[in-house]
Amino acid sequence: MYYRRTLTEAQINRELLGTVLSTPLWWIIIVSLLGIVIAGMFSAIGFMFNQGLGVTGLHQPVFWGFFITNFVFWVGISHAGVMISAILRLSQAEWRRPMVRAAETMTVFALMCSLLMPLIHAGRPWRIFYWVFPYDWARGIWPDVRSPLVWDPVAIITYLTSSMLFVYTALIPDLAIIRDRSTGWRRSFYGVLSLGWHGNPRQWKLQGLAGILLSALILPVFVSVHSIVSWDFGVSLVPSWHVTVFAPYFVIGAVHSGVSAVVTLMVIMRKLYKLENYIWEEHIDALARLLIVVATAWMFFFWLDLVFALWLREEQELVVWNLRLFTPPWSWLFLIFFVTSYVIPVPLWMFRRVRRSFTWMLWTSLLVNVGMFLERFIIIVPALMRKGPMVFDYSSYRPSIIEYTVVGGTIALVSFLLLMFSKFFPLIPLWEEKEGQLLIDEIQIGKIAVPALVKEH
Amino acid sequence: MATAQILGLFQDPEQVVVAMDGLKENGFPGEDLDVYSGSPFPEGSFGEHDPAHRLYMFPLVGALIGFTIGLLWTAGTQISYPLITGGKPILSIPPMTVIMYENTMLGAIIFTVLGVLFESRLPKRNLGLYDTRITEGYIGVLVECPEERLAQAEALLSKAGAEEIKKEEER
Amino acid sequence: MGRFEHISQRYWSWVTLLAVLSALGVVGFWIRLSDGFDDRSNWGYTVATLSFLLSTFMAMPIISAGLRLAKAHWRRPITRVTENMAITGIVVMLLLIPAVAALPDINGRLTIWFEFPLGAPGVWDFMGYGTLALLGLVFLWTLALPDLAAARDHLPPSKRQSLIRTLAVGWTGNTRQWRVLHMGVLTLGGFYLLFYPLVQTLMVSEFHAGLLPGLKDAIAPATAVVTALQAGTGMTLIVMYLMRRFGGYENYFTIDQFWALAKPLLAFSLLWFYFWWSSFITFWYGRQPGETALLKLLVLDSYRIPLMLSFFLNFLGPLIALVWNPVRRSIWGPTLVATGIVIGAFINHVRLYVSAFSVDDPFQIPRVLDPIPAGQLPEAPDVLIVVGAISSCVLLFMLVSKIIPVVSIWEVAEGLRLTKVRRFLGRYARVIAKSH
Repeated sequence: MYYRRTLTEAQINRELLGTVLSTPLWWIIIVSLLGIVIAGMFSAIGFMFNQGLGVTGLHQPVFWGFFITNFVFWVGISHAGVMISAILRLSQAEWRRPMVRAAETMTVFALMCSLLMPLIHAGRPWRIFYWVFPYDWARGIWPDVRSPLVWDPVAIITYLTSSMLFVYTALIPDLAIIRDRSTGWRRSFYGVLSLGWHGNPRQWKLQGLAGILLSALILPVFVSVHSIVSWDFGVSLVPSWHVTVFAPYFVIGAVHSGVSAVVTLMVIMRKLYKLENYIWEEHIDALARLLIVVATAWMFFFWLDLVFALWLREEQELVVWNLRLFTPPWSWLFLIFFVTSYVIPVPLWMFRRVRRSFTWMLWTSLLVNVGMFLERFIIIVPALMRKGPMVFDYSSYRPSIIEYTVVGGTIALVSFLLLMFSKFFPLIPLWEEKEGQLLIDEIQIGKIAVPALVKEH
Repeated sequence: MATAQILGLFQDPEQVVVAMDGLKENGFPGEDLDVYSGSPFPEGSFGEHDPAHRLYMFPLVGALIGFTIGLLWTAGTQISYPLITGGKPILSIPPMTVIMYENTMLGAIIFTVLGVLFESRLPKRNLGLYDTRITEGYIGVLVECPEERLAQAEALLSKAGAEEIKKEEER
Repeated sequence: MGRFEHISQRYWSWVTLLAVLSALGVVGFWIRLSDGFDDRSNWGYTVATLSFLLSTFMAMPIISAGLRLAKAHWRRPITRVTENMAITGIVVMLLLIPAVAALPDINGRLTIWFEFPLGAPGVWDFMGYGTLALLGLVFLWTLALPDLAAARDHLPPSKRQSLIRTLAVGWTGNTRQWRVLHMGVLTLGGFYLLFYPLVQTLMVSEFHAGLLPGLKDAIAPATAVVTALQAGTGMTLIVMYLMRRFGGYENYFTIDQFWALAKPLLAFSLLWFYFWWSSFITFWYGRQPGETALLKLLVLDSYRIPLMLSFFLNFLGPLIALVWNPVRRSIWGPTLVATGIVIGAFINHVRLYVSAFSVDDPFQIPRVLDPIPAGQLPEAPDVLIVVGAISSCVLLFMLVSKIIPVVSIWEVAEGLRLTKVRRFLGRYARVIAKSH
């Protein structure tokens, strides 16, 4: 249970607005380095647009490779925001407070990054508008809503818009705090963004209701987004893709990788922004316990996928699974994925000392995301390599330097965007921390004072 | 009758309760009193007036609009370009459901945010009588009253322990 | 303790009625047994009842385990009601016997045992269900120890008191015992939570998927778990209402508990649709001959009406009703919705298992269901078996409720100790501490 340190509002303002009101040297260095990597990524993309998709490893029949793996990966990471923010807000878990905004912001940037992937994957992205947006400018052709590839952008744009609105609504009180601490153009800038917020009881009540209503509304969207991405695969007839369990399997895998990413983010934030007063062992302990449950549920879905894939003993299905499980290098990748996403982290998380260690949690959470990237890769590529029944159609796939650069660049891009966000807005919600301070209490039972919380309802 | 505003600044929430009680006992209506704070207090902590809101209508309206747009878009495009794909009927309801659902949720969420802003009476161009220390831990009690009662309000706020009292011309 | 100690005449009347209904269930079973196991379709409703009991009564201990893991403070009065239902494992084990006997030969049939049956299905099914039933009973007994001790000390000497004394195994409530109890409860609850999906996988794969040619539905066990969580929550609400209305427990099963349970009930109702839809959309898009035939059986043709009823009672109805806070925040609202959910759950289990047991040849090659059997209505022995099985579950619960109190006294007392109401500025607020 928490033994919250007593912090004054002035102290909270000072400590959490540090990087907003000033610019530390480390921030400039890291942003510059990330900028260089991102420039490399966009150069690679430009080269690909100029030379064609042949510079990647894609070829018949493997037309979905690293880019689509990365697309699914980042959509997965984006699920952290709603998991942490919405579900913990609805269940009134106190330990959510320091991580909600960072998780929601990571959601927004991860989604933007994921949208980038199918755009560049098209090779000629300027043509995508004809395929997605419902207009008919003298062409006589409309997008086919029966295609899951049309559902994807609808779902992702819905989720992105909802997440952005969610972040902004909860940010308004903090924008007012920055407005009151600023002068000159900053004061005008934050004044406009804060919409004239006063902090009267009506506004606070509606802020609380907004949190609950938006959480309840965004949760079904969160479930639907990755389900729709999974149906890109599930509704096709590619062997090992045409499986009913893909929707919840993808969603729970997304939660697994997303929450692990939040752990990574929390540990790094604590170190860089010196947030020892706000991010404690209790928070990563709680996240680790959540991860144990999520990872175990994910393992159940994985097992269902494997067992029922082999259920009918369909020949092509057996060929694909033989490739995944027993044919190097795919079998090695499968082993690495399995070990890094479950076998190593989950047993380690059973130990309290590991759960409460920032170093251990950083490395285990990174391992999980390495494993989850490989999981998506192993789902997508081997199935396409053995898509058809004819052996002469069998092929292989090896990502090129362009694809490695782009994938690495997306990690840099999301990190860069988060750092830029933190320059203008606080990553930890000030008003939530202040509210948390207010609700601390204790109950005397015999000789001990048991920490307690004031419950409004 | 000309009305005026006066703002009392307190550091201790208990003093705010005393101030609010004192003002109401002396005939200042709850609707004319407001409390500004930099963080939320549990509802009713200061005995403040709790006006009704209609926030719950907004997501409903938004959902209906989103649903209608989704229906028109999916049905309209399928009828406009009647091509049978994968053996599915021209008006294929299962895929329509997915897009209609997403549009319904998007409509509900957008209208919820609009509703929150509307019911919060935001945006507000002018901050009015306000103090930046409110976001530093101070709590402000704003009284709106006829000019002739301003002195009485000031006295009550002082009596409750206000650290500073601001009037409209001092903004 | 007063209500627990006193056994009224009305209690004995209900016990007698339930015993008679249970006996009628045995009669129905005997009639079916006389026809043997050659015609599998005779046993469809028995298997549907088995699945229904597994997905309602035996899902209730999960509510207890889950709420404990989530440290929900409002759980305290209701956990014992859910744990007491673990006793219905006895009825589940009894129904498993004819269910397994009615299965066709494992050779050539698709199962999760693949090429290594090794005693399947009987040995593994009985081990699986039996372990779950045993886990449930141990979970119940462990959590009941402090209250058994209280009953032992409170009741006058009698055969009942003697049985309770034996079950209390000398509990005194020292520090070590309490520490071990808390650890054990979390562990046992965790194991029950982990084991339950495995048993549902057995249920679905043995008695449904393995009998429908061409069915490759990986999500089916997960769907069964989620629908069980919904039905279990629904059954919990119904039992709470009955205890409140007829048992005099208004002070324990308050609006807080109904309101709190209504939220997961709404969530599970949405998930019901989501899991069903995941399955449906995959088959609808695939349009393989095998998938089309199964859609005709389970969704579009033979069992269309049960699906529509279930769709309304398990998804649409709860969604329309529970979206409104005034309905959620009432006693009648969640109870009415819960009743519909439990009825819908039964209809859904009939759709899944009666259809599977009415297939003539599960071994047919190619694996395309042909001919597609028509919907099968229950006959008199089926009705007797269904009524008898449910009555025997309720009977067992009523008998156990006079050995183990239906409200967890020690937990409620702990909750009162950890809660206080105090003045917070201009209002009163509840202050709640966590026990760990």
